[in-house]
Amino acid sequence: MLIFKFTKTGPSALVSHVDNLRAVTYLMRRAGVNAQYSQGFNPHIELGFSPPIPLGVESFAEYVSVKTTDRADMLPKLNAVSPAGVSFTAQWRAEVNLAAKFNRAQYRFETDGIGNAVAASRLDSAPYRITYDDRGVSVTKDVSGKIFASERINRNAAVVTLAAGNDNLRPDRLLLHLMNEYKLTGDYRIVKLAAFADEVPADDFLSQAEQVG
Amino acid sequence: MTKLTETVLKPYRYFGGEYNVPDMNKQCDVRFCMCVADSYEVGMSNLGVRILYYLFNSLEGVVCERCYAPFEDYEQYLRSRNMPLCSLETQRPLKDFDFVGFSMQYEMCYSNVFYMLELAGIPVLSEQRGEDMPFIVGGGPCTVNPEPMYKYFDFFFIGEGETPWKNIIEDYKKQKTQYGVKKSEFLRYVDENYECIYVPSLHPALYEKEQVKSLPDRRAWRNVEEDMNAVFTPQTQLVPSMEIVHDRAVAELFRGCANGCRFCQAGFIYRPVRERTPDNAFELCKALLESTGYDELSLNSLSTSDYSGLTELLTRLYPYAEAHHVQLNLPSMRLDSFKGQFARGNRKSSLTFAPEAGTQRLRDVINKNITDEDIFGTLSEAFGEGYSSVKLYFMLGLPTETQEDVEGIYDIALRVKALYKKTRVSAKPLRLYVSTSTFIPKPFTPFQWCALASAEDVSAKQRYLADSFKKSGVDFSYNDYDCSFMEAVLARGGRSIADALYVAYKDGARFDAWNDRFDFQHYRKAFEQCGVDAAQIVGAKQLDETLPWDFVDIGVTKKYFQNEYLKAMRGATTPSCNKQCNGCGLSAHGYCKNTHGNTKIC
Repeated sequence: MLIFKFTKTGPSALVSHVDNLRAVTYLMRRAGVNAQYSQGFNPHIELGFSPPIPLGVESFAEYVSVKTTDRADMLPKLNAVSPAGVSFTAQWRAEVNLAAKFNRAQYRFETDGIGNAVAASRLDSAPYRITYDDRGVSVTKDVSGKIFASERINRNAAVVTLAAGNDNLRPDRLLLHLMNEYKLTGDYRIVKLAAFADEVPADDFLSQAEQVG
Repeated sequence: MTKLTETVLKPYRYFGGEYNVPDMNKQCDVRFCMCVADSYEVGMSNLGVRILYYLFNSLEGVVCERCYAPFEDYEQYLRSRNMPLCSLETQRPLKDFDFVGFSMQYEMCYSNVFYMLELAGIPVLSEQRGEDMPFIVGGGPCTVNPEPMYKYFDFFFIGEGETPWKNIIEDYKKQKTQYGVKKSEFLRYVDENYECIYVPSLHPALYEKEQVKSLPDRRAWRNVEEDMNAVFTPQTQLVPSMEIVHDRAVAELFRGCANGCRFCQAGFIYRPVRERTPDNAFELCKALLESTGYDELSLNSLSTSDYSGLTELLTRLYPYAEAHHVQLNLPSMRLDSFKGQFARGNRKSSLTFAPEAGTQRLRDVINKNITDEDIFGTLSEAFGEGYSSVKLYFMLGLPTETQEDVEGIYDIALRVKALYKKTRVSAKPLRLYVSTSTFIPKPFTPFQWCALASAEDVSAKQRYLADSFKKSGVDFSYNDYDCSFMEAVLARGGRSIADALYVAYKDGARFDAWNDRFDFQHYRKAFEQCGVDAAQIVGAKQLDETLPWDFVDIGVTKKYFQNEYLKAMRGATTPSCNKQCNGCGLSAHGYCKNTHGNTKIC
């Protein structure tokens, strides 16, 4: 199995996870990755992805696994056929269930005043409740167990580390909660900077898995 | 993440970023924005737009971008921020282009043309657009009757665009860069130099109510590309990162259709048949698949099973497809030329055929030259190949239709069910879908003089079939009559309806091609307000009557259509062009010298 790290920025950040699955399938085929296909009525390339990010969140740390016997460096081939905003940056040969293992992610928030808001908000307190809109329903939840770190970068930027995967905290929900609480208006940007397997950075985790394999 | 994703569904639609977008940063003298007045998912699936998009971008000093009709959420997003509608690729406002071209694939998209122009901050009336505004250009099949939209477009391009468009853009580039040509001068220039260009503002027409009193004083010729092996053909296509309607590679095998079905406008306005060689088609298929990564390929034409090289092509394509995990898709198969081998090796998903009418008598009237033997012989073969799902399309309201013809639809469905029991190899039960649409007598068909069937007549037939199919195990569906009525008005109307179309848009009409959004009340009110007699437009015409589109020359003569109409009324058929030349008029223009339809004669 090959695992690739890739970016999802610019217009690609507006592609949903489900659509991205199909787009990456075509990309792998264009690049000539000798992928293994599933059996059955509708055979398809078997891909595994790191936990999905919300629509609009840009990322420098997405991961996809593909079952293949290829061993060569595929990055040049993949980058030659990638759409705008998608760039492959690393490759490992390892057997890892990305969706199950990658359970934390680090995000950068950018909007006017968000750095100060994060510094003032006591994100490390428990309980820490946020209120968000879930398909038209207002929901209030304690998310204190899902915020692992937060740091003010400057007045208009902050970095937070949140739970990802099955029991996650969506970064947009936290950001919008903070913006509401501190009366911040205007447009905003969220960028996923890194993924983690527990406390280990994903790249290190994959390098260790590759050596073990 | 931006505010955009909070309020706009699938915002990717409005920002592009597809794979295979040409270089947008090259040196540029001419900017063209190619628009489809429908959603991204629909517009991105259009083959003609793809061809012209790559053609324009292949020209030195020319950049072509795209724009599609936004849904209400993005419209609100733009309006609330006072932002104009922009192109996908570089987010440039449409009014900053030299040309804004609309591909008009179906009449029901007209209201969206107004919608897009207004969102772009471009006056909808041609006469109100000054030198600072782009040329608004119309192309696509609807331009064979451009008159309903005459006052909104600066010019129309009629026919196939590959060769003339290249020259038009080159001419414009030269005139713009050398002496800064004025719009009015360039309009006169194209009017004088391109017979496939129609500039309505230079050619007045006179109407008395809906009746034409005098036509535009200039013939507009439908351009026909002569050689499919030499015509500009993109060897790739855009690959969007979201699903579109036809999300697959599409190879065009040939243009035109030999069959001469009397109800089918496409069968006449795309004549004559021009095929790619199997070699050319195979190389195109390979190039498309390799450059896109698609795992599905559609072999397109108006009647794919008539392609003379189909067996040769499939013999080469099947092994390639199998080795590369590609699903082949053969749409537009005719019941009289489908062979089970065409579908061999594919997923046995579903077959779609269009007998169109329930009895042989009516099939003769409409010149759908298929017999009961064709229908049941083909289905028997398909069931023997393992197919268990069939869709059958019929029309209601065809000229001379009787109750017996409608009962024939039900009868065919029952016989298909019985046939499946006898010939099936699949363990699955038969899934049979019968769908009826209301026949619309379109311009440039032998039925252009016929009336659209009345709402009462069509509704009664729909009810009869719906009742008959209850508990029959057949899934029956039919379309909305008002929608067909409106399509008929738009297809057959002249300049007299132009004002009403804009009034209907201002009343809220848009996305009329979408059943869940179409509201006939907008048009009913607009017709009343503007004094349009829509019933007269969809009513029967005299054979010697001047029709709004009579100044457009598609190469098929009016005399031929009249003869075909008279033959239809007495139930006489006309053979396929594959068998003989029927003298439609195209040979006088130098076409069909070496072919009869899909058949080579030398």
